[in-house]
Amino acid sequence: MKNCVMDEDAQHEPEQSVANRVLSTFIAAVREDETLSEVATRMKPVLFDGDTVNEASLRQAIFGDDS
Amino acid sequence: MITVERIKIEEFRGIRDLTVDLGSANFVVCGPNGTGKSGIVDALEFGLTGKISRLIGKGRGALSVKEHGPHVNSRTHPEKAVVTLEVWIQSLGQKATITRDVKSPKTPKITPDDPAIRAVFEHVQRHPEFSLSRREIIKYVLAEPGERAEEVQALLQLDKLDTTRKLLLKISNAATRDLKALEGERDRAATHLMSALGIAEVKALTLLASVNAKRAALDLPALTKLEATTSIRDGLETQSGVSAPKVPKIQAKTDIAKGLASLEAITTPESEAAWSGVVDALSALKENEAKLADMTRDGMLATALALFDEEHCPVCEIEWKPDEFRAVVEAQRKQLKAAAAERKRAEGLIEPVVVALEGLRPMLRQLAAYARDLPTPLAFEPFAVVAKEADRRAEVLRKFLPLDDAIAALDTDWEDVQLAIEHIAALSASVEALSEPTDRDAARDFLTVGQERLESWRQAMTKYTAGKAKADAAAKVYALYGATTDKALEAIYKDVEAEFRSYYRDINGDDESKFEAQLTPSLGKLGFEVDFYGKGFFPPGAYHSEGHQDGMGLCLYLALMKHLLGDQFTFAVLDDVLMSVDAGHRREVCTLLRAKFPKTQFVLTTHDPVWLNHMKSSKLVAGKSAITFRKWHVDHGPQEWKQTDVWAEVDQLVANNEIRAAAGQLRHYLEYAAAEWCTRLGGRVEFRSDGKYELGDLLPAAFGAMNELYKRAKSTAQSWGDKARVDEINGCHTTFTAAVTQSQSEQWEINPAVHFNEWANFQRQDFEPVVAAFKRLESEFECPACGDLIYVVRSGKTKEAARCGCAKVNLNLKPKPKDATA
Repeated sequence: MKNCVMDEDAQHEPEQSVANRVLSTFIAAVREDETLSEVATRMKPVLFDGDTVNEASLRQAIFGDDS
Repeated sequence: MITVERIKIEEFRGIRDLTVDLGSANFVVCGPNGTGKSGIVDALEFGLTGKISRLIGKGRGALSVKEHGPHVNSRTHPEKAVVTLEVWIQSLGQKATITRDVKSPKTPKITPDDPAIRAVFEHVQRHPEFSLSRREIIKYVLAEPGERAEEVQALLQLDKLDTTRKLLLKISNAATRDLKALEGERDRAATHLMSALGIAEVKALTLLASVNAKRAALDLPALTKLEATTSIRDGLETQSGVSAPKVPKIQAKTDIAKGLASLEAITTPESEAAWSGVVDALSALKENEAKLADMTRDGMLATALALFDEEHCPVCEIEWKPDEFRAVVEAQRKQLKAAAAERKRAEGLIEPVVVALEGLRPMLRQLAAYARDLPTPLAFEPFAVVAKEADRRAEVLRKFLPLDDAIAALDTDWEDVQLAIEHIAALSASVEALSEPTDRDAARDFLTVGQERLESWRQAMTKYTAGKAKADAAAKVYALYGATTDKALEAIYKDVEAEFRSYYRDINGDDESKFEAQLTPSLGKLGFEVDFYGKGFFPPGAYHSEGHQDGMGLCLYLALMKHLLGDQFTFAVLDDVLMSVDAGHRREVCTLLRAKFPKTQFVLTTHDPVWLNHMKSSKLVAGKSAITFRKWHVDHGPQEWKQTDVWAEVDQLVANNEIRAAAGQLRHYLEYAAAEWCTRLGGRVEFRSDGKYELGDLLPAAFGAMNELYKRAKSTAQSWGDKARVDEINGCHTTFTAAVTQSQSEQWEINPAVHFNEWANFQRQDFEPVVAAFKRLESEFECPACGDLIYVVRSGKTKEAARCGCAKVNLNLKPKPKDATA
């Protein structure tokens, strides 16, 4: 598990907060798991857009549209 | 980020109208307590964030920016309380201005108002941690691990990580709970299907064998495979006269027999004895029910042990002896563990009861349907009532607590069950009375009921499979989150730890050059231990002095800020942060700030003029990058030590014949000025442990230092054979001596207290010459061209020259070497 690699897109964002840098490594790890690659795509905006994380959005990101 | 060029403060906090030029450079605000330093700190914070942390937070309930931000005279006019900051934005290479008033703190006026500049100010606003006060610094050092973790995480803005972790765990736990329920539904549907088809396992071959035997009886082709959409009734609809009866006799008889067996199973003496055993087990737990209620309390107790500071309970702050505290907490943990084991055992006993109750529901509902669908319907309620009650009891038992409810759910005196058993006899009789189906009818009923239950099972399986996929995904995401964030956080704290260690060693290199520190994140806590002279690792407050702790707090703050902002750490306000750093390490602190943070503008406040001088002499701040407040007045705000202001004030007082006030003002100013002269020239004052030097201590030392300079300058000029220079210096020295004589200050050295106190009794005509004499005397310490104070340039301990800012004054103090040729 390459869990200290930052998410590729996130690396290009110049003003990453420390929290977002950590979250980027998480997204990268999720993306690396073949069964979770779609989860990574859905989860990224949930974690990075805005200062707070919403439970319903997070649930939707993990389970998909039918959750 | 930004640096601050200038700040204009109007009707804000204790300030009426003040403009300070910071010049995007390090800057010091110095002055005794109560002279208005904090007003500038508050104004910087307010101007950049719209908030004043001094007025918000714990213990400040009745205070608010709106009500207490304006100067007290303008408290009903918050629109008049305005802070304007002119800043330099390095990344954009341009200046900008932000103006904020207390009435509308959230809507600053930004000039020029373009998106890039607005984004910069918004970024600054998101980092109020640029301002650090002493009361805040200690929280990083002396806080309990959990609190420290919160503070550090808040500073690093990592709270989002913890929130996300908790949400992911919540989602994963909910998915696992849902899966357990779906698993039960799947198993019951399988049981129902197996009952209908007379098979012992839900496997394709077994199922097809059973189904094909019946299909053969109906001359239907055998099914060769069982797929997701396969109907075991396939072809049945095309046969004439094959509409299924509402109550298939053979299947109904099987279901009735199973229903009866299930009901009787919960009323047998063995069953009642088993239920009674569970009741006994639950009753035995009632004594410790509170402990069963919250098993997470064990986690809290474990945390309490970790947070225990060897003196106070981390929860209630009551003092404890360490051994006693640990014994009490460990005893409670032991009880909780025992209770947890008891609960697990009881839940093991409950499980078969719950399974039996949950199994009753589908069976009794089926019997209720048969009763309703008979050619001559029977009452279905006896079955429905028991099904509903069985559901309720199963739910109560799964919840486990409160124990009284669980015990009540195990009541074997269940009359409705008996009524249902009796009603089964009537249902059985009615079903028996139905005409006997032919083999073809029986096969048709078999396939019809079987198909219904196969569909139910398929639906349950689909739900279970989807639920399992969700639970697996949620668990996997949570596990990945834990692994990656723990590793990333560990790396972050290692970086911070390394920076912190390096900074602290820089400050304390004389005696702690091998200093080590450990920042250990663990389960929402942040352990912080430091090496104490190689004797082991201890909490920072254990053995290190208060001064060292202040130094640690600053170093940790700087390390965190560097990690948080990197190159964008361009501005910080250190509000009286280093008041207790000992004199021996102040220079190193200055050097650290200057050398390690050359791109950061520090605004520092201090009430200690000696600190200010350290900052100046170590070149952390330039000579002019300081403002020194001398006093504060509620109607005028802080007042600086500005020569022009002071002399104008003294002259006015003399003109008004207020000699006592003028004398006090002059003496106060001369104390300030003489201290500056001594600092610049290296004047030697007899040491005082309280640091409270009086004018009688300072003036002679300043004169002595200046006399010495002139003498050495003359001697040096002579060594170089520069007679013209000797004459020039002689002239200056003579003028200086005359000024001193005129001020009569030399005489006051004999008994300074008497002479300076006598000023207060002077008349106007007596005091005017005194004022004039000291004005002249002051000018002797300044460059006539640039107005800067003359200062000594040193190489180590050797005085090499005396100069001013513009270099017009330049006294060489380095004599010609004896072996040098002229």
